Amino acid sequence: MRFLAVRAATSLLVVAALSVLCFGLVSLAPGDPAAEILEARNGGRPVPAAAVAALRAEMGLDDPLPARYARWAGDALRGDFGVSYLTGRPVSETLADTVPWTLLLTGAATVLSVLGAVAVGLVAALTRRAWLRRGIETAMFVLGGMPGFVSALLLLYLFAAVWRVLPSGGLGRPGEPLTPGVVLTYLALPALALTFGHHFGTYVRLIQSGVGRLRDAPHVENARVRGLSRWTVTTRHLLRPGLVPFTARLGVGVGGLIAGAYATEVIFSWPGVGRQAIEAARSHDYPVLVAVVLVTGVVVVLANLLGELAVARLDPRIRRSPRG
Amino acid sequence: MRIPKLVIGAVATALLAAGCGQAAPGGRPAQAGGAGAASGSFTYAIGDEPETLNPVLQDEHTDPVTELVFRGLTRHDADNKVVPGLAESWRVSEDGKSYTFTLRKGLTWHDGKPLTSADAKFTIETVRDAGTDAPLSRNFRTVTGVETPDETTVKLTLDRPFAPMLHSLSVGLLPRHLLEGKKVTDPAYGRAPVGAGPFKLVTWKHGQYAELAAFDGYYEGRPGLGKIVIKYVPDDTARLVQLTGGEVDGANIAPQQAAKVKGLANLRTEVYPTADYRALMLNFKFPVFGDKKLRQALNHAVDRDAIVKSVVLGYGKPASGPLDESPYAAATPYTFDPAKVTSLMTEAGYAKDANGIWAKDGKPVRFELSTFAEESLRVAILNVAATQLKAQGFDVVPMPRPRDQVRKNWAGQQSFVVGWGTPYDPDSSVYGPFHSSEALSKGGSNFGEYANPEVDKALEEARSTMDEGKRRAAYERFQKALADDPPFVWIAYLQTLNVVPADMTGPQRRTLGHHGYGFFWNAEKWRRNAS
Amino acid sequence: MAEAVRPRGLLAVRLAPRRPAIAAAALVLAVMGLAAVAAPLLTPYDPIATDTAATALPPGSPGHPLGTDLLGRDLLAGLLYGGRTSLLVGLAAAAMTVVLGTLLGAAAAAGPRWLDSLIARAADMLLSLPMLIVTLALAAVAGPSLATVIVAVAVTSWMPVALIARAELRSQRERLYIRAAYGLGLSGAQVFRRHLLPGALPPVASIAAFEVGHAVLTESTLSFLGLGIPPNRPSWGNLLTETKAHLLTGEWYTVAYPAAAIVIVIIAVNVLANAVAPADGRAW
Repeated sequence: MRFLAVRAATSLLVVAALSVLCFGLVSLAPGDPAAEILEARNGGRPVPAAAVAALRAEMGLDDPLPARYARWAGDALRGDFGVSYLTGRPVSETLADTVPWTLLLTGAATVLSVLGAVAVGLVAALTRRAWLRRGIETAMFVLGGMPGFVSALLLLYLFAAVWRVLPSGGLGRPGEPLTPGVVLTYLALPALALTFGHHFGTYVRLIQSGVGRLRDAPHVENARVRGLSRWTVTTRHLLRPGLVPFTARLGVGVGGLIAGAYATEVIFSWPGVGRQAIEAARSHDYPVLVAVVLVTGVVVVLANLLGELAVARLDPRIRRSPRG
Repeated sequence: MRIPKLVIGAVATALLAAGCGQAAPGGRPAQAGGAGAASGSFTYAIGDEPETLNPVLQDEHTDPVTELVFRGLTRHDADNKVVPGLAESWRVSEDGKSYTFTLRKGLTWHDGKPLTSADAKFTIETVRDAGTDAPLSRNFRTVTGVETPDETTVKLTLDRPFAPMLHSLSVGLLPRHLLEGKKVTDPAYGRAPVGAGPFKLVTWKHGQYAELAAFDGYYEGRPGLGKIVIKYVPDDTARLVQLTGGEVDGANIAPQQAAKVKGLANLRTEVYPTADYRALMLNFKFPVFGDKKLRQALNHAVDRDAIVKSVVLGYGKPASGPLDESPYAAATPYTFDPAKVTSLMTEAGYAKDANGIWAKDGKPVRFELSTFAEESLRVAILNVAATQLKAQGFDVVPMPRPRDQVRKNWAGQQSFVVGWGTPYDPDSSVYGPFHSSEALSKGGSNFGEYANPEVDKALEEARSTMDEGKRRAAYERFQKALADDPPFVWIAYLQTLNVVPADMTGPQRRTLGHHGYGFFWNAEKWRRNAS
Repeated sequence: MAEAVRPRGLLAVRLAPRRPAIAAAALVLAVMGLAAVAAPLLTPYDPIATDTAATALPPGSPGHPLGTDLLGRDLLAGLLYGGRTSLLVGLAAAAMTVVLGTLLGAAAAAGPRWLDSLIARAADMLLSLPMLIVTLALAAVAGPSLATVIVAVAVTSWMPVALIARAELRSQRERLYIRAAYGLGLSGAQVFRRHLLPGALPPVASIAAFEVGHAVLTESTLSFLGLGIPPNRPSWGNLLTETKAHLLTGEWYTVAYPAAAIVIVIIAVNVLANAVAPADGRAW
């Protein structure tokens, strides 16, 4: 699988470039981290220059840039992302606490996206009722014009405020054990919001056009005439090839989902990494911000890779040409 | 490809089941009261979450968790008077330079280790020597020596009298056996603190909640509640939804939400005054504020009643100075009086220009009014005050800024909606903001660089006299000098609204501190009485 | 490369455009643009001036057709002035995206090989990253401002334009009529304008149109998260941030106005963008 090796190498390169970018961001950002830490402790009041200088030395901020990058990258490779400027807590601990929840949320949203889009897309592609197809198309178009956080607010309003069937946010009642049932209850709303707020219309459209193109193709007609069951025709002759453009798009879409999870997590107080990112961005807590960006970047690159792998499985032609 | 499909199916089924089933917490308010009473637990939602639970790294207004976990030598009663805490009694020498405390017998830390005078000595010396690491260090600068003749006696020697000393010693004691040899800013301790207060910390999930359990070894006996959970819900609306949906038992709510809670039979709203005031700080580095007549005119140009009525829906009261809620209150209120504005400005040599703005020598009175953009209440005050001042001929440019942009540039803020005030000893909240030695450029918290020799003198005298009568007279002179030469445009004192279950007894009205902190001041006496 | 050019998110949503839809979209955008430009003529109120005598008025109140917020600010004024900011961000970001993308694409096509591969790798990398994350990092470092939002959008969206410009320029460069044009003594700039630009224009115009909607969306998301337009300057995103608290307390309309404005603009822009997109649907 030469194709895979090339792709993996490219991905590694992207991650390396990303790390340089991240580190540059921290180093070139305005403001002195040492002063920020001390001022935060001192209620925002200025602190004596000597104290700042001492902390700078302690943090190794006076070393030349390449030396600092080497040290930072070495630590990061070992999973050590330094400590938060704000809380003094190791960033790796924060990541360990939050990243799994974000992955769960995006994972659930991806599953919902796939299932929902396949169902709706198939209906739209195969129905002979023009009004139904037209209706789905219009609904998906409107959904496409809706920012993710607007659909999240809408869902929050309906499910948590008007109907009160799902909790408005957070994860479980404090102190209660987190059983899978509890987790799913709290996961439902953010996962739905993430699903419908991001790319859902695109997915439906891709499946609709992918399958629609094949619906009246001779080999499919042939399969029907041969008396194969409707299920077999749909899954084997329509869905599998019809899914190719959709699957190719899904890899990129997952990246968008993870980014979209940021706002969703803020709205639903989901204890994921996105809330940390926003908080860190607002308070210039660069160690946290950089680690979050880096980890998210790696996950996204991985998702893209997986997406391409899936496409290759579905469509043998791709496997042979390295540049897609 | 087979395995993923299986997983997909399982997750989707479970999701659907959860969505349709009875497990949804929204439908369980009926259950909440019963479950709470059985274990005597209380779950309370609040917006702000501290970065550390170490009391000496916070200011004197501590968040609920720190308040519940820690206890100092002294503490405050319902009138905010200093009463015994971990110390059962004390003696102060005639000259105010020597304090002798006697600790209660048999005190222990949450981890079971005995609490002795050595811990008190360790705490006082650590805080004093922490410098810029600990804001409270300023309260112990006068302490020259701490002696511990025996396990329950602590003797402090001061180089000069310091009136707020007994109040200062209400700071939570730190355990020597856990912190000796470490920096006071040790993050591990700040995340999992051990104190001697009525409740001990079980877990703190940053960004979610802190769970506390009653401490059996508390010196006043086991608290009435078995468990308190402080849940951090930054969004006002989310707090209200969780409260009405029964996800939490109580919450700190915004004035705009009071009406929504009023009709609910299972909840009760406790409305307490606070010593937390809002005012427009004027930065004296900008010449526009040089004339005190202009500053008096500004104070007459805002309609405080309208602000209290619109911004906090009446849950507050107009402010006339920094000590309105203290026993030393003596300020005369500024009235909203457009005629007075005109006469003061005319006296000061200003006239309205073509745009209806006061101007002198062709220069209109124009300045920026800023505040922390993240705090919606301050932004609301900013916008209403700016509109009111504009209507009186002052060209105010409303300009809220993100918090860290402000922190980096306090000196550049022309005017700013500040919040100060304390229900405890007044010294800490007036010496810092108004004494010229505490100017921003000298590393203090007098952000506006206000300087008035009369104010300086009165403040120094008030903190260094042990004679209550003299102290009162000094603070009277201080408030008079402030009224004549205003550093701020006073706006309003806020009230704080806390919702508790109807079956909760114990919460007692007290004037609270910043952010409404201090609500849990007597939580060891709270209980739930439901069957 | 064709793989990489595929636009993300709402860019890819397509509806077979029909004439009345296009006309309606154009009309909606024109009306919104005009309303934003003429905001001072349409409302007597300053969008940030409070009125403690007229707080929390419902829609349809005399003098305040859309009502007022809790501090007595007129909601219509906020919406109109907010449209100024949001649409300005949309147009400026789209313009900057096109300029940046065309310049980089042209540089890649005309410049040395290393520059070409550098730009291509950079584009690949940016395309593989969720743009909100890059934007977030930029906003954190540069601080929230109108310019930050515009630059952040442009920096994270120039890639499709650059790739199209590069491909178009490369395919045309060697054609006979271009060589002939040079032979006739036309300058490089003239050749570029007369012969190279027209081929790249329709797909770029389509991206630009999408980009307007995309920038409006990004502005609102960033402002909603407190990292976009500085507070107190009305923009649709800021209005949403300020009012989202009312969603659950009854005044849902304060949230609905800015949300509807954003959704309508994006949908209208998408309809138009689809109309000018190349008919074969190859790219999007």
